[in-house]
Amino acid sequence: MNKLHFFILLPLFLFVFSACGDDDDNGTPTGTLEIFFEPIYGEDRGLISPTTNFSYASGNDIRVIRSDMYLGNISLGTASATTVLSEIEYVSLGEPKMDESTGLTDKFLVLNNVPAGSYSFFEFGIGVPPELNSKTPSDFSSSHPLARGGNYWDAWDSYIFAKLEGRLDVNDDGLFSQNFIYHSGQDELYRILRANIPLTISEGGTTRLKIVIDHEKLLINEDGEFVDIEETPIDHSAGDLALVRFIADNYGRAFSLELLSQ
Amino acid sequence: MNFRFGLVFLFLVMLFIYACKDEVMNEGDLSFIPFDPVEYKLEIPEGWPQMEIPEDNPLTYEGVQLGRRLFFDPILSLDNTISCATCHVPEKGFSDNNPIAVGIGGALGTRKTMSLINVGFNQNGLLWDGAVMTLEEQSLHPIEDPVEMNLPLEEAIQRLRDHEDYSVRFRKAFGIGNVDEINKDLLAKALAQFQRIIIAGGESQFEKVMRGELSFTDEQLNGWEMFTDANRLVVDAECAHCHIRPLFNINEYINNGITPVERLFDHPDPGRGAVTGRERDYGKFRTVTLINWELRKNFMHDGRFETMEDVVNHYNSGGHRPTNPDEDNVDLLIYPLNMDEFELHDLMEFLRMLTDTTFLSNPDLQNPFL
Repeated sequence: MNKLHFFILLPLFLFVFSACGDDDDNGTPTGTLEIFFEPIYGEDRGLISPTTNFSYASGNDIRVIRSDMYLGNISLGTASATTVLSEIEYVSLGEPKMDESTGLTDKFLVLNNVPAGSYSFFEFGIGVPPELNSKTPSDFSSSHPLARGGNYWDAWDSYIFAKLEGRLDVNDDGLFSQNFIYHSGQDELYRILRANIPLTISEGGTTRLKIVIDHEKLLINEDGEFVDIEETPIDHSAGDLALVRFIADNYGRAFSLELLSQ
Repeated sequence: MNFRFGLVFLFLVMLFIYACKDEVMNEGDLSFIPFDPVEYKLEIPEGWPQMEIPEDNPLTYEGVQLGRRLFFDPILSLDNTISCATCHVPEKGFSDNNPIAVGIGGALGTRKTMSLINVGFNQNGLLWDGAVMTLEEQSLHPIEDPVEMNLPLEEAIQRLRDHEDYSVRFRKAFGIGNVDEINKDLLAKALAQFQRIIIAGGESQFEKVMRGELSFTDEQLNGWEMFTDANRLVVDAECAHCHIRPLFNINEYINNGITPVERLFDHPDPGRGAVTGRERDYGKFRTVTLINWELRKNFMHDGRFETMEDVVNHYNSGGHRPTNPDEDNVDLLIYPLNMDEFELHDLMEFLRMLTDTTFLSNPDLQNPFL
């Protein structure tokens, strides 16, 4: 099983390549790409849950209750072209359930009509791509992922790209009395992740990927600096993006990819 | 000669009577009635999302008008005393002022009547708990519910088949060829069509401010900024997470901490949990629109808060959380907000901007029997 870490691309780089994408079917042979998500916390890979405690860098226990995000321009590519499979998806990773027989959670996306072929990388953005973030929910019919009113923030003129919420046992009494709520948004926090991985989509076949998201690494950077939850328990406001930028900059470390089957 | 003429005349009369008799025997035939439905164009305010209409139930003028009559007609209740509009009163924001819905014969329901304002935009389930997904599905529930209209659907359909005017209207709306083709699916479609045209909010003070036709007062602006956390210098009232413009609703299921229970299973009404079977969904209910809240009384699924001030005070207090965090599924945005009386006043001033009664003058939403 291959396990690859993502690295963050500069947004400009993405724009150039995503413009090359062509997700039209046009009768070409296609297959299916299934993407399973495994939202974990820490090296023990425990699934996040409203009732599962993990150790936080502050020395307190932590629970991760909500982890939602938009995924933009989910793509497969080669050296010469990028194929956008989906412009936007919304995933809610809170309270996952693991199927012990398959080792897969109930959090997944199924992308059909993926052009068959060999690819050299898998790529997506976390958040809403700028070209879509300039729109508002009113630009979409009511069942579209970007019609979700609760995920648009007027004060930002932006969609909420990601929501990370939970509770900290700030008094070490088991009561988890400190809620934390971190919502990110605005174009500058859109992050593109790419994993260079040889991947084949067979005609009529199904290729399976797993994306593992380590929520501990979202809150702690590679230098060991971490979000001081007690000091800043809530950050979802325009004009003060430092904390949510810190989290966004950790995406590359926190997300990893496994190719399950093809 | 006259005698012979009389015989011929008598023969013709008998032939006419026979022909009429034959006509009566085929009285269920509706195919001779023209079927030429006209598209009903929804008037959705600028900047609002487009409403998704099921492909198999497009809005037509005839369908909407049929649904409108059915909505206001007590024919769909067992004893012909109540209609959909008995609980969903237009002047009361298509809700009513009872804390708990009151059905046929004064039967008491279990939850507050939901407003139907902008219900056609909901894509994440209907009712307080999301037990049904479409308006078509939802429309039939109250008819059969023993504490609502208590009429078996078979009886409802038979009444409509026996009703000359409705038979014609079903033909004109759906093109059926015979009264026997009136069925519960068509009944549901007609009621759903009517409910999809219940749109309000586009002419509220707030929308006029957004369009530049009016300006906020200082108090309203302060309230708006608290509502949306648009200004870090004011208190964040955390409202917009669930009540975002333009619909002022996100149509999701949350536990907003109104019920003081120590265990999830202790919720007197499991709400969403009864639908999903998940313990963590106990006590969760669907968010509702704030548009035209001023026309309504008694808020929350059990109507416990008589006024909007009560509602705001609840959120300001931080609500109730169980002591054991394992039993806590109260939304994390429910916490003490500590707004003072001036801030609460300003927030209310903003909320009052969400009233739009222009829908009451829409002839297609008015009681056709008056």
